[in-house]
Amino acid sequence: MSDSVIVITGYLVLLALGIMLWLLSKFERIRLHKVGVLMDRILHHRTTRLAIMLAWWWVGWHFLVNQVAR
Amino acid sequence: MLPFLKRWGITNPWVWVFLVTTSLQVFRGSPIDTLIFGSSTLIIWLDAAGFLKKSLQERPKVSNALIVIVMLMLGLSLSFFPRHTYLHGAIMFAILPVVLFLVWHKDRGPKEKADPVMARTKNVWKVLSLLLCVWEFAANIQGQLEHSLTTHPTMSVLIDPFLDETIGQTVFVVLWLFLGLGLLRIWGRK
Repeated sequence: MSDSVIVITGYLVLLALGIMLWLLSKFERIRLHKVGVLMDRILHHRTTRLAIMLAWWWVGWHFLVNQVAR
Repeated sequence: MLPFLKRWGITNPWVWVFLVTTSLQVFRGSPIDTLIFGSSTLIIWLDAAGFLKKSLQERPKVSNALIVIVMLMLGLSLSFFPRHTYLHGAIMFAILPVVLFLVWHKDRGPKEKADPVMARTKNVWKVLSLLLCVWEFAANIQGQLEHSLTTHPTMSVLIDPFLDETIGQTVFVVLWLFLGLGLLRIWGRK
């Protein structure tokens, strides 16, 4: 198995875990709060709000304005 | 010692997240990303250290009609015009101050202590996010060391080709805009 396949598999496993957690919490099949409730809580402090929105903005900048080296 | 570090914002995890990401951009040799993350680190540290706390306003209210109009305009212009142009750069520069203004408001009172379920929820998502960051950073660093983008591809390298087609660009723009709208928590607020 090549290194690139291992790296891509890692991303897919983490993505699948994220989707599974999101769905399980959304339909209350697991004792975790829904993502919306979690976001309401963690966006309480302005420092967190600033950090998350700056990171979100950068993702848009990165793909839409910057040339991604590939 | 800890109260001193806390007062100066040194214990805030976001300061460290952005500082480490800035260091990675230096290592990558990307001056624009270094500037973006460096400036972001400074803003976050200034806020965490309490330098930006003065004259805070209540949370701004935005009508749903205005949100729909802005989302449509942004969605259409960012989806159907080619990427990597001055138009996209100008739109992104215009979005940033608006977004910062919308989250600049003061916190709504002291934060309540997390119940056990909330503490578990936070920990589970923290671990998953941390694993993703470590995996991405490791791929990036390994790729840089081997001077190859394909042996250890980053998420950018994997996702970017899909955005070459209009449909891929549109899907990305829609998902990105709705994620931002969700994070701003402004929809339906009275």
